[in-house]
Amino acid sequence: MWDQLVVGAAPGDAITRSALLLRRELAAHGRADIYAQHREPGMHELVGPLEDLAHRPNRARPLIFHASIGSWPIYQALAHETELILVHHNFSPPESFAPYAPDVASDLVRGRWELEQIRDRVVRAIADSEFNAQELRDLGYTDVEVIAPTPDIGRLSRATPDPAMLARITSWNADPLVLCVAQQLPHKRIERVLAAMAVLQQEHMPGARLAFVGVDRFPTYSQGLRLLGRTVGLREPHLLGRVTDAELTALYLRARVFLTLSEHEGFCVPAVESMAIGLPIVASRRAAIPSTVDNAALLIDDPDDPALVAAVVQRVATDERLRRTLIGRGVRRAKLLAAPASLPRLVRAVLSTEPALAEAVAP
Amino acid sequence: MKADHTAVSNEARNPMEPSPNGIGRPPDQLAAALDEVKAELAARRAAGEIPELRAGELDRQFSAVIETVDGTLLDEPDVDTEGLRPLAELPTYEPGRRGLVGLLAPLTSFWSRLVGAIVRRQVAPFAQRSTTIVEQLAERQRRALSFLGRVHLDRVRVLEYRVAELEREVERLRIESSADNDRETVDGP
Repeated sequence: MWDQLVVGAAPGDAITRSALLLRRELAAHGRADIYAQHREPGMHELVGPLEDLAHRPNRARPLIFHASIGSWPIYQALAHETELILVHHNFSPPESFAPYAPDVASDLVRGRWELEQIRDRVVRAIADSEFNAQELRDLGYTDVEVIAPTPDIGRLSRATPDPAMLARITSWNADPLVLCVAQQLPHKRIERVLAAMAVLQQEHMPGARLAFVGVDRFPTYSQGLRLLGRTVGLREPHLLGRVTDAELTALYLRARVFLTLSEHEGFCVPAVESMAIGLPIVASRRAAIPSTVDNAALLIDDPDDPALVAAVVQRVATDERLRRTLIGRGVRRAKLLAAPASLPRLVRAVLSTEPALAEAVAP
Repeated sequence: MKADHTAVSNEARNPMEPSPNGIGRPPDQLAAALDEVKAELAARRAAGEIPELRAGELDRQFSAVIETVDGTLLDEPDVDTEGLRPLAELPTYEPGRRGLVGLLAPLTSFWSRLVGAIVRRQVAPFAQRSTTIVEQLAERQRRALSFLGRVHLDRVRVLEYRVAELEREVERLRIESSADNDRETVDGP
């Protein structure tokens, strides 16, 4: 009944997952299609190409557009849409990308301009965090609803931990294992994590090991991270790249602390996954991270100080009382943010664009 | 019965909205733990056990690392522009003097000179100007790489000095510590 448009569709991508979940719900009211400009292998069956958007089956209804980066072909395609429901996920800060990928930086700059241009056709504006909502307000949007981005964290509970990964983790003899899950993007500031882990090993816990999950996006940045790891004397970092859900579940279960020191997050799905699985979090007090974790994580004001981060990680790894508090609050917080709680809110927001239908299906 | 609309349960409240200040919150154990860690760190820093980190130090170091990664350009040879200028002169084709080619040489040579003159007139200014620009760009790139190489080496040298400084410091502390131990052994516990 309602069609959706995402810039890129990829297996494991949070926005793609969110769009697929929303389609599952909307399909109860009729056919619902998803279109994307970029479709990674494995997505062609589930998501249609951008070229087909002009012939989408539900042209009489607003198109749900998931904004995450600027794109000229998408902007051109949107020109033919009279009404839009905007779901604003997150635009990364362009300045972080300028040294590594100037073309991406310019897409990010243009993305904000594109959001301004389509504003008058947006009948419903939804942001997945207060941080993103403020960004929309800065672009002139007035009525923005904040709804968590329906992370499907249940999939990790459903996955059996991968035995090979469990055996691999055992062979690391990590004491403790610190886990970081993030794409290798400059604004994720993974260099902070490496520096803090080096200090943790040197000052507090020689047996501590880092497991880092995240795909390599820009070769220069990734090479820089590897070189920094050697320069700061980080022992045996396990850089795992892309992993399966079963492997990720194994890592979440075996890790002692989840660490993220990102400078910019629109929401931070891995933090919600950690909370759901009962893994205490140490994070930077930046962007949307505080509103995502609320009072269920130790938030650091100065993540550029590796000595401070290392001392906090050591405390969380060893203080059982503190761990119990973090785990208890985290599990409760994740329950509020997970798809079963947030998806109905998103569906209601979409249905509200058609009051008669919203009334008919209201509980 | 009137409903109390001011009482909003956790489940009903939008979880992404900022929490009401302090309402329903347990005493903040996390803030207390964080303060303790900060106080311990400050004490260790005051005692000189852990160095103070200058503002932006991590950024500076990582930017040096990225510079080093980019520095792999230095391993590549200079762009070779040798032989470009003679080509830009667009010399006339000279047929060989042997065999069938030699037999037809007077005719071919005439046409070659004619075509050469026309082509040179049309293309030579462009070819020469392009060659000059390519040579200038190659020279500028060479100078830029030399500059970056020098900067990079200077930075590495600074880091090496710092490492040496730290090694001396470690050695001094080791000597002091062993002297203290010796004194304790002599004085008794």
